[in-house]
Amino acid sequence: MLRDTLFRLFRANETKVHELNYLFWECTTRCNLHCRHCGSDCMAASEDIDMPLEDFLRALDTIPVKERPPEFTVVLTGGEPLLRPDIAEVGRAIRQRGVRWSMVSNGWFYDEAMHRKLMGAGMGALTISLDGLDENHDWMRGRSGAYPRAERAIALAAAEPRLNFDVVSCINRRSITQLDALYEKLVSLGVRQWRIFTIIPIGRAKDDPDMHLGDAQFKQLMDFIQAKREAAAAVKEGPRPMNVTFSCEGYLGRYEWKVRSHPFFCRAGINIASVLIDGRICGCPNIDRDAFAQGNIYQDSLWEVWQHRFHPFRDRSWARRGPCAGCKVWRDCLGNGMHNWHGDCREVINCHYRKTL
Amino acid sequence: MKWLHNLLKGLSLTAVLFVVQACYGTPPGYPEDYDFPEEEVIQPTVETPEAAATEAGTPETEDPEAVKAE
Repeated sequence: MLRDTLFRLFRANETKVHELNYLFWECTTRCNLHCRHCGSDCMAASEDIDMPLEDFLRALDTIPVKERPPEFTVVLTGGEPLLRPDIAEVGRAIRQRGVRWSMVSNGWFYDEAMHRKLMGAGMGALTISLDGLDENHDWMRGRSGAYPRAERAIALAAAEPRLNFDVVSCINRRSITQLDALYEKLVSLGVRQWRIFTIIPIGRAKDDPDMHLGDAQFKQLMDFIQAKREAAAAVKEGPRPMNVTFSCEGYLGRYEWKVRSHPFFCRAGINIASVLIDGRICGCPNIDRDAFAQGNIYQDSLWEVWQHRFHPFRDRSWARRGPCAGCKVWRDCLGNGMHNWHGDCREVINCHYRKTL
Repeated sequence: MKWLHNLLKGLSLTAVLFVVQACYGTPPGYPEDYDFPEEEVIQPTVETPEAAATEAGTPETEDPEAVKAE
C-alpha cells in the first residue's frame, strides 16, 4: 500500500536524521514495590546508589542548546523516582535549562502535596501505572494497598490540565478479564489517555506464566483496543472519549494503524536515549544494557555518543536472523522493538506479529 | 535529509508521526496547547485546603526515605 511505502520512507529519513528528543534518566533503581513484571528487578535496598543530580546535568549539558528540539523531554524513571528526596530539585534544574521533563511513577507517594511540589518544579507529563482493579493491581505490584494509592494519584493527575497525563497498564492473564471494568474505572477518574502494553519475558516475568497472554488473549486485547478506538472516532460532537492505545512495543501485522495513532516504529537510538543508573548510555532502559550500551557518561560525552555511535539501533540489519531472517513482514517490523532482543541476541524473544496471525 | 524532516514536522497533517513516546515512557513534553514560560513558577490548579495546609514535598502518609529501610 502507498501509505506503508510512504511510512517506510519517513522512517528511513528519521533514522538518518536521528534527532534526539526523548532522554530517559534512570535516576534511581530503588523501589517501594515488588512488581511481578519488573524488567530491572528493582528492590527497595538496591545496591546502586542514586546517580547524583550534578552528574546527570553534566551529561545533559553536553547537548548543545541548538540541537535540542522544542519537544525535547527528559523522562525520569527508575525504580520509583519519587524515592529520590531531591526529585523537585531535579525537576527545577532541568527546567532551568529550558528542557521539559516528565516522570513514570507507580503513584504510591503521589499525594496532593507531591502533586503541588512537582507541578511547581515544572513537570509537564506524567504516567501512572495501573495494572488491574483492586487486588489484581496489588498482586501485580507485590504490595497490598498499591491500588488505592494509584487510584488517588490518577485522580489527582487527571484533574490537572497542565499535565500531559496518561495511565499505562500491563495486561496479563488476570487483568485481561477486566478490560471493560478498567476502562470504566479510568473514565470515572477523568483519564483521557490509556496506554496498554504486554509483558516481555525478561526479569522477574520470565518464568511467570500468569504474566503472559496466550495468542487468543493477545488478539482479544487488540480487538478491544481497536473497538474502543473505532467507537471514539465515531463520536463527532461533545467531549472526546478516552483515547485507548497500544504501546509501540512491537509490530502488529493486521492491527497496524488500528490500535495506535501511528504505525510501529521503534525509535530507540533514533530519537530516544537513556542515561542508566551506572552512567551507561543506551536506548530505552528496558533494552539489554549489557548487549547494547553505547558508552558511559563518566567516560564519554553523551552528545558525542549520540552523534557517532548507536549503529545497531540505526541499522537493524543485524536482527535479520533466526525466525526474522525469512519473515515476510521484515521491512515493516525490522526485528520488532529493540527491547525484544536480549542476551546473545540469537533470535527475537518476543514476536508480536506471530500472535496476531 | 534534515530539510525533509523539518518540512514534514511543520505540517499539521503529519504531526502525529513526530510524537515520540517510548513504549514504557511518558507522553512527551507538555499538553499541546500549553506554552510554558521559562520563568513562570507553576501553581497547580488542583488544590484543596488539606493540601494547602500540608508542607509541600512531604508525603502525607509515608516518608519515601523510610522505604530504604524496608
